[in-house]
Amino acid sequence: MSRANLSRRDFLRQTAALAAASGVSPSVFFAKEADAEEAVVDAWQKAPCRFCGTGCGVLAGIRKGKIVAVRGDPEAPVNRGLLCIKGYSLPKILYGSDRYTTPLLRQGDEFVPITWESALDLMAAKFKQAIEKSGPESVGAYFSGQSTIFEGYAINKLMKGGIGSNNIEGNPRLCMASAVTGFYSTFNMDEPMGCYDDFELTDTFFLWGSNMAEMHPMLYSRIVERKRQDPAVKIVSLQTFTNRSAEAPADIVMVFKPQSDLAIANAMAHVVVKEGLIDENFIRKHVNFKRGLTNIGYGVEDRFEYGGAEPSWKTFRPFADKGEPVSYDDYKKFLQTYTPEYAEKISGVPAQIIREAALLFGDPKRKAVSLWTMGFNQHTRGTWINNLLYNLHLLTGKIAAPGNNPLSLTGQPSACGTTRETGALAHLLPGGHFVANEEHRKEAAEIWGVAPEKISPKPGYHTMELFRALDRGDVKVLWINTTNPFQTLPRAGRYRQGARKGGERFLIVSEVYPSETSRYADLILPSAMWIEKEGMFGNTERRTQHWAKMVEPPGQAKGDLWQIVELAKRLGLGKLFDYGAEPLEKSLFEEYRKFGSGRGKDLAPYDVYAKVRGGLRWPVVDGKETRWRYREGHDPYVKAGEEVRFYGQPDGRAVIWLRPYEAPAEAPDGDYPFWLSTGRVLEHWHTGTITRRVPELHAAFPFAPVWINPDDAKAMDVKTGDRMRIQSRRGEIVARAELGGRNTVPKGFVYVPFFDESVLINLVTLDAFDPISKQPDFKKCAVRLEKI
Amino acid sequence: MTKIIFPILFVAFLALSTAQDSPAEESQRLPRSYPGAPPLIPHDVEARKGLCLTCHETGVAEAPIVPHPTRDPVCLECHVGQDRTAKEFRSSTQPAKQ
Repeated sequence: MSRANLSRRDFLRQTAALAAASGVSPSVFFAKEADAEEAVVDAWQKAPCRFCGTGCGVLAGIRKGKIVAVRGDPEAPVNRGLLCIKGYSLPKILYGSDRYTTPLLRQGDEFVPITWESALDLMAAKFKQAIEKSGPESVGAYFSGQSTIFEGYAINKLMKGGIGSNNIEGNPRLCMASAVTGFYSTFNMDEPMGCYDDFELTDTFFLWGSNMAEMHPMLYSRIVERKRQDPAVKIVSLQTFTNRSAEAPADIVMVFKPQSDLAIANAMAHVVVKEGLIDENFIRKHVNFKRGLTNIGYGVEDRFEYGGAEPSWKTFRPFADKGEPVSYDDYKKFLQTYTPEYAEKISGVPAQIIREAALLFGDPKRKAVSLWTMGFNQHTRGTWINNLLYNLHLLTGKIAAPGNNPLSLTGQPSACGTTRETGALAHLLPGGHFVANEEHRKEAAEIWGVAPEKISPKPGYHTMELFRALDRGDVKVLWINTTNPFQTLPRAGRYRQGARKGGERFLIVSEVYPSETSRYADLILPSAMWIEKEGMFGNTERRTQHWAKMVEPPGQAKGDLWQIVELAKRLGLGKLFDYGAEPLEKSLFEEYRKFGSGRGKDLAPYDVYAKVRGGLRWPVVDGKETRWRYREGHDPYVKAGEEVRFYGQPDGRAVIWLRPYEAPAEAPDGDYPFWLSTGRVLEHWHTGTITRRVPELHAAFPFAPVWINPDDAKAMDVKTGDRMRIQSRRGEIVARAELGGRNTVPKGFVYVPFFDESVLINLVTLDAFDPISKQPDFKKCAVRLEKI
Repeated sequence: MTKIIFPILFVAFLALSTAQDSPAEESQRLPRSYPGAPPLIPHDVEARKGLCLTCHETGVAEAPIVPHPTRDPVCLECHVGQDRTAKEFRSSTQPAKQ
């Protein structure tokens, strides 16, 4: 069944059939619910969920031009008919009472409604003025992992191929840049080799700092279900505090000190090598060893460059790494230091538990799946810790095989599909191409129909440097779209002030609801969201999904793709998006597909995605999706007899990197004695701009508390609900103490979610980043606490 | 072992939650977001962490019986508690100053 529109009867019949046919599907229970209560709708239409990187399939129930209900799509292989509470709340995200419905221009101390015509004319005039006066590098666009593939591709084409500026970034820089550089440095090709099918095929799960129970709920429920069906399945959960993913049914829980994951991963490799749990044959055939630069810094200074005096983009592939080949013996020598006892000293995790986890990982009778998200990626050594995890899978040969895989989870619905794959970052071109590569620029110019010289060889400002440049005045005009940086940037105080220093600065913000960022705008553009426009997303497991426009946006709100094209027209670049009578979305996608075809990133034709429920995982070759890359028999790019080939690397070999433990950028001391870590909660999406408008989600989690250890609280005479000042060297905020609830933090450690704009924790965080990926570390800085 | 511990804990948490909240109010079922949406939880969730099935497996104290008991460890992925004192959320729309 591939038709997107389902009648209510179809839906019920299908759900019931699935329940009857399947002894294992969780949907079996869902069917009863469906029979008992059913929203009255005109049609159910397929769409991916608007929220996290899991990529659940939903059926949107449309009635009289409004969405009134959603169902988990029983045909979607990701979630099999279920959704989390955010997913179930989708119908209400469109209908908050304070949607932006008209363009607004700052005039004095207020925002005044203006027409689209004047808004776009003004926006284009500001772009033109800055480009003429200060060059294309003085303008920028900051988009999102929640932008659609069409939007990501279009803004990239406009900026790089039209305006000639590589200052196009996206918030995925804050969420998965280290995962990307991890993939590039180890495999020289982005994105996971495995997929969610591994969950039902493995018997050992390693959660590396990922609180999947809250942040990827539907995936976590698949793990829990797997464990319920087979008690031999083991779950090892490594966390910096005890959260919902560190409770039953996890078998081994390690609560480690921030940054010490570097030592633990090396210690696990130490045990695996020492106990002979390595796959010598696999290493001999498929692995090289390399040593990288050390003491690489933390990026807290403006114009920070890593890798010597020459800017990194000139000397080697930007945002990857410089490495010298070493031998297997060098690697073994390197590991000698990292005994479990040594790692215990750094991490606080008993050596015996580290050893136990390593033995479980290396057990030749077991399969292993590793999962991680922001704990690894938001890390000043994020690339390194990604590398160290791959080391374990490569040493044991537990990679690129059904049930044996490292799987880097993404946070956003299309961080992969939009930002990574369409290349909407300062150093990339679509389909895994680089601006610093002349051949790639030529190819892009040809597909785009522009002169090759138009595309600059110099990567633009990465996100942190983009906002530093805005503060300095080097960037004059910035378009922020589908993201809320003045709540999410670390050390947000500096960047908030910088944005409103005046002069030639002009800030355009496309949003759906008022946010901390739209307050800083000069011009606010009202956007359409989710099913108010056509879109495509790409999830964690390389799955591309399409949805059709189903309802009209409110008032004069318009889709972001329309906004991009209207700007292009006013800049005299309308021809970039002129496809004659062909529909724009389809034309853009068919053009975009050319970049990846035959290069391991093959996408199916637009019409296929428009029909297929649940989407397809690339490379899609001869109409078939790929579940496991780099493995003969599964990946069409691996030839018969090769068995395994990491074909991103010229010699087909992945790299085991020698990456030491290095200290964090800032650690608690006498003045600031507590670790501060930040993150999300299940009920809210990022900064809560959307989810806080849903009454049920807001009431479920109305404000962000500070989780504090009960012993620390006792010492300060603090009870749950007391107001606490949290202060760092950058700034301070006030939050209510929480001693219990869903998390238990260790002594000397506090956790504050970042969704709450009245508890603006990023005024406190540190803007240190991984010098390789340029991704900031939101998980570690030093603070002091005071009861007020 | 857990079969013995759970009822003991149950009494303990009931005492605890009674102290925190009015039980009469707690017993009210909350309206669903829309037909087919997962039921909301009208009582404190965190204090009863891991104990959902103690009441909801068999319907102790008129608690709704869960039609999918094997999903126990992940109840709170779909069913969430409600702080009924929470006021409607509104962002500041005041333009940030220079």
